[in-house]
Parts: sequence; C-alpha cells; structure tokens
Amino acid sequence: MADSRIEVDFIGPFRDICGCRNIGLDVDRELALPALIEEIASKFGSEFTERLGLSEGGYDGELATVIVNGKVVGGPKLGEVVLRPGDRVVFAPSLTGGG
Amino acid sequence: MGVETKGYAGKYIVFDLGKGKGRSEALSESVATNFIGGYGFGARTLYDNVRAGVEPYSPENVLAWWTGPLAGTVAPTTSKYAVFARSPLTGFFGFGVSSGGFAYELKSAGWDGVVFFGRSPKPVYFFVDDDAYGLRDASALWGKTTWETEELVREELGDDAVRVASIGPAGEGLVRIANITNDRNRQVGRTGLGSVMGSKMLKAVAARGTGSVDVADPEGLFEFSMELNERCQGPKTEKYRIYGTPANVLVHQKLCCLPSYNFQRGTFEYAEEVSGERMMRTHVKKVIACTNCPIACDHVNEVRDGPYKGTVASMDYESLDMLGPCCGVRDLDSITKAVNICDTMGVDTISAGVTIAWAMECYERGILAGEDVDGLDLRFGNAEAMIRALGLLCRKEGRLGRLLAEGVKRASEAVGKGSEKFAVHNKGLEWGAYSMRSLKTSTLGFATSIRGACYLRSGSYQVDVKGTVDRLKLDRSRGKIVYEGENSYAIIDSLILCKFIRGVMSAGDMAKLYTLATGFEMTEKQLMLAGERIHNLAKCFNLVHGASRKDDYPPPRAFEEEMTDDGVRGARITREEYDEALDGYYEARGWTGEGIPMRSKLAELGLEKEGEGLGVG
Repeated sequence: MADSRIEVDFIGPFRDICGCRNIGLDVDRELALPALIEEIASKFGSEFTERLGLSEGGYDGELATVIVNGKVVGGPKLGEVVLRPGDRVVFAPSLTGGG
Repeated sequence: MGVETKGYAGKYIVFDLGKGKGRSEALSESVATNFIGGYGFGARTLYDNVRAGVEPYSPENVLAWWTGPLAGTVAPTTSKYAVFARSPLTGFFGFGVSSGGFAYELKSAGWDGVVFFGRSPKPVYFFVDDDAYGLRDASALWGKTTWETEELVREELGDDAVRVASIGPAGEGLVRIANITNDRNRQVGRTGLGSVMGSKMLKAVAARGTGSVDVADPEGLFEFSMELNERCQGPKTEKYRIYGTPANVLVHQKLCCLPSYNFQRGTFEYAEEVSGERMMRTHVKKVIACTNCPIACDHVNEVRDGPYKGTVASMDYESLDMLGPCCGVRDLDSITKAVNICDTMGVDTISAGVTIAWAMECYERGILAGEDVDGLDLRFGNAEAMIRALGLLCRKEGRLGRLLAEGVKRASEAVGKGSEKFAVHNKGLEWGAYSMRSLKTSTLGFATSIRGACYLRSGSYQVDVKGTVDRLKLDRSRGKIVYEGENSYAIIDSLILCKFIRGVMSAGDMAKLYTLATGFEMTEKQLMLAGERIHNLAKCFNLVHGASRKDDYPPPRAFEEEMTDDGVRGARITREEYDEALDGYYEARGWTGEGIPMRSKLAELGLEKEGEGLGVG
C-alpha cells in the first residue's frame, strides 16, 4: 500500500545516523516536513537534526540537502513543505565540488 | 620596482628551455596587489606574452607556474599552485590548479613562480633548490610514469623532501588531454597542459625549499589561521573529511543530474554499486591531506580482490562518474583501475571518461566499428573495453588511441556522421559530472567558463542544488549569479585557497588573510574588484585568440534531446531561454552582446590598454 506511506531515503551521514538506507512511514493525512524530521529524530536521535543544521541557526542547504519528490527544498521553505501519502523525501549531504 | 608587500617571495624565475638559461625577475607591487597571485598572475603572464597565432605546441607558447601570496604561510589549505599556457585542447586560456606539497616547497625556496619559454632539444627536468635552479637531464625518465618519475627524481637528488610535478607518457606523446601530476594523487588536470610540457621536452619540475615566507603580521596571521583551522574541523567540511566527494553520487542520482551513458541520462540504475557509501566500505584504504590542510579530503582506494588486486587510486566524484556511470561502468574495481591508469600515464580523468563515453555511443550507433575501435567491443558498461581503450588513448596506439588522444571535440570532428552532436564539451574541454539539462544555472556557468566546460570557475551549480532557484529553468537573472560566482572563484584561485574552505570563509575573511600576510590593506570590495579584473583579463586573452559568443554555448545534446529520467522527463534547454540567460550574463559583466568587454568596464578595472584592438563598444 505504497500510497498510504511516505518513503524516506537516507544518504551519506544520514544513512550512518539512522543505520538504514530508507524507511517508510504510514500516514493517513498530510504531514508537515518539520514534523517528519521530528519523528525521525525521536527514532534515531538528535544527531539527525544537528546534521541538518537545525541546531546551527537553521537549515540553509550548506550542510545538507532535503529533496521532496525530486525537488530541492530551499532553506527558507523547509517549514512550509507539507507532505502527503505517496511522497518521497531524501535526506542527503549537500553537493560538493572543488578542491 | 620590486614588491614591498610581504607574503610574496617578491621574485620569480624566467627560464628559456631552448638556451637552458634563466634569470630572476622582481615581482612588481602593482601586479601583486592588482592581480593577487595564481590565476591573476597567470592571466597577466599569458596576456602579456602569448600573442595571437602562437600555437600551443610551439616554443613561443609560455608555460607559467604560479603560487599565491599565502602559499608557504600558516594559513590553511594554501599549498596550491596553478599552471598556465595557451591550451592545446581549447586554443584558449589554459589553466589548472593543484594541491599537495609542491607549492609549499617552491615558495619556501624563495620563488613566487616560474615562467618557461622555448623548447629544450632533449628531455630535461627543472630543479629549484632554494636560490639555485637549472635543468637536469631527463633522458632516463622519458617514458616513465608520473609515479615512477617522482621516485626517480627524489632518488637522484637524494632528498625525500623534494616535491615533483611531472608528466607521464601521455604528456610526452602530446595527448591533448594530458595532465601534470604531483604527490602521486594531485593533478593540474584540465586543458591539456601536460602535453605543453611534453612539447617543451620538460618531463618534470622539482622543488625544495628550506626558507620561510616573511609575513606582515605573523601573530595575527597565526591566530586567524588557528581560528580557520577550527572552522575547517567543523560540520561544514565534514562531508569532505569523512565521505569525500564520491558521496555526491547518490545525491546527483536523486536529483537526476548524475551523467550516465555519455550524458544521455541523469540517473544510473547501478548508482548504489558505485556510491561513495559503498566505496567507503569496500575500497577506501586511507584518507590523506595536502600540506597544511586540516580538512584531509583525499580518499585513496585499493582494490582488494580480482584481476586488479592491489591497484591504488585517489577517487573523487568527477573521476568516479566519468569513468563509471558516464561509460555505463558499474564496477568499482575497474573504475579504480581506470583512474590509476589516468594518474600514472598522465591524463585527465574527466576528459578521458567523456571522450571514451562518446566513442562508446558512436559504437552503439554503428558510427565506429571493427578497425575503428581496434576490435574492441566498446559497448557501454564493458569495463574491460573501457580500460583497454584508455590504455590505447594514453599511448596514442592504434586507430582508436590516436583518435581519442585528440579529445572529444577533435575526435568527433574527425569522425563526423553526426557524432559532433553528442560530443559533450564546451570550447573543446570535456564537460564535468553535472547534468546539462537538469542543472541549468550550472550549465550557464560551464559554458561561459574561461577555460571551457568547468564547474570550478563559478560554482553556479550550487544555487541549483540548494533549491535557491528552479534548476529546470533559465532566465536573465542567472547571469548575475554566474558573474558573482566567477569573481569570487577568481579570488580563491588567485590567493590560492582550496574551494573546500568556501563554506567556512567569507570574502571578508579572505581580505583579512591577504592583509595579515602582505601588510597591504585589502578590503573585501577591492578584492572582489580584483577578481573581476582577473576574469576580464583572461577573457581578453580568449578574445585575442578568436573567442566569440558562439563559444559560450553548451553542446547540442543540451538543446535537442529531452531527458527521459523519471522526475525530470522532458527536460531540455530551449535556445530562447539560454540566449536570454547568456544576455543576462554579458549584461552583468558589462560586456557587449557578443561577449566583448565594454571600454567603460575595462577602464573601471584599470585594463584600458588591454581593450585596444578588441573592438570594444
């Protein structure tokens, strides 16, 4: 019953923190993205929110990238995103290039 | 008059390889403070010395090596140098930046840089030993790999502390995508400068310095550097320290911007198998740092089993994608082997991967077959064929090797039959591992880059991947983003700092570092103006060598084919939106619609003289 779930993928440090590649959350209604993050943190520890940068003045895309249905969530919009059953969320490190 | 500011050594070597003689030149105060170092000095050197018509492999082409004012000081991530010449791959401004310990030694020897002219009649290497410098015979080194050369030079000089930057057989054989390697794993990778060394019969440059760099405020610089060191140990650089850039693979995959199958797609069905996460478990043997770097990003792989057992290679995201998914290859052992071949034979991993991926697509489309590919079954995903093709390329062996050694632009022009349409490059430089159609601001930055397709000239992919803009659209406003990124990166490449520090260091911090090291009161505004000046001078060089608006476009695949990956299905760039964004970029730069700097802009930057004869408006 994939449509009643929100699928969450973890990459890089988030995979290490959570100890798994992905989880599925059964939901029967809309869920705010911050509420999802809170739920994940309650399950896997506060390191999860720290790694998102939430403890350092807010998520700004510098430390981590949050992707919802293939679309990057810009820093200021994190609190505005509302998830629905069937959505796919990715928590990943920010993209890097250089040297 | 020589430079009086500290930080700089204050002098550089000008060396004629034909005559085997050189001289010490004083660095002028004006050049130092207006062009900063590294990229800025390279722009000045090439513009002043390489006139129109000078062929890249002719003795008249200059090969300039420059450090920055912070090299050799306590400031973190500053052991970097850059090399410059007219590129044999693009015909335009050629340059690359490398790290390791080479710059630290050269600067500690008392030199800001070395500018080579001419061509040696026989293989030589150049050795800087504090005040002394000169050529040594390299006949016995000719034909050796870069790793062998480093060892042999150190052995001959009897000093393990000597740092060596050398070319492999590819550079000797004038493979146009040849690079320069130092400290085994660090490269001046792009624009084919290894082959310019080869054309000059210059096998290596070695440096040993026992002096120290005099700075204006030693205590202040030390204190600020310690603060920066601490920031470098914080969460914003954790991704480099722990995971390395291969952690990008799965992020790119999720965003459908992981180039695969020669950029036909933005996802790779085997991405997990080549991910940084998997690599950490199965291949990473150690993580090492460049001299004076608190980050330590260099993840070194070792193959543990199978036919390539024991093969070692430093692995970053670009190399991994270009010799992996871009060629349809899913086996980390084979990718590690391919990177090892590139590093030891001396070719750029990005250019090699893209050129082979193009040949694979030609093969699958029936454009290349049989003798054209020396009998290889060059299907996407055939790792063994990729490795054999790479070997041929590095040595220019067989029909395929001779073709691929020219880089993807020339190879596709030689083959024709429509293959130019899927030769993925800009200005002749092969595209890096960022999808063209699903990261559109990035694409504008790649295509307007001074040295050809490159993510390191503006970092414009960042606004796409942070969600600051809609990455699937382009408009006029993106031009200003690229413009600002280029100016900022021009300063990073001139000071020269590692770009991994950008998240923990502001432009104001860079100005402070410059002031503490040199004693010249540099403001953030002055520094950014210097970045703009440097970029414009490099642009003037390109214009002298024939660049025009047509050179600032991505390849046909970006416009003519829609993406088929779920999530970005149908994505492509329209000519109209690209033209609008390019107009916006030129406008932000103060350039004409043809991409030529306006007289007023050059005057603002103190470059009036350079504008003469360029037909600026």
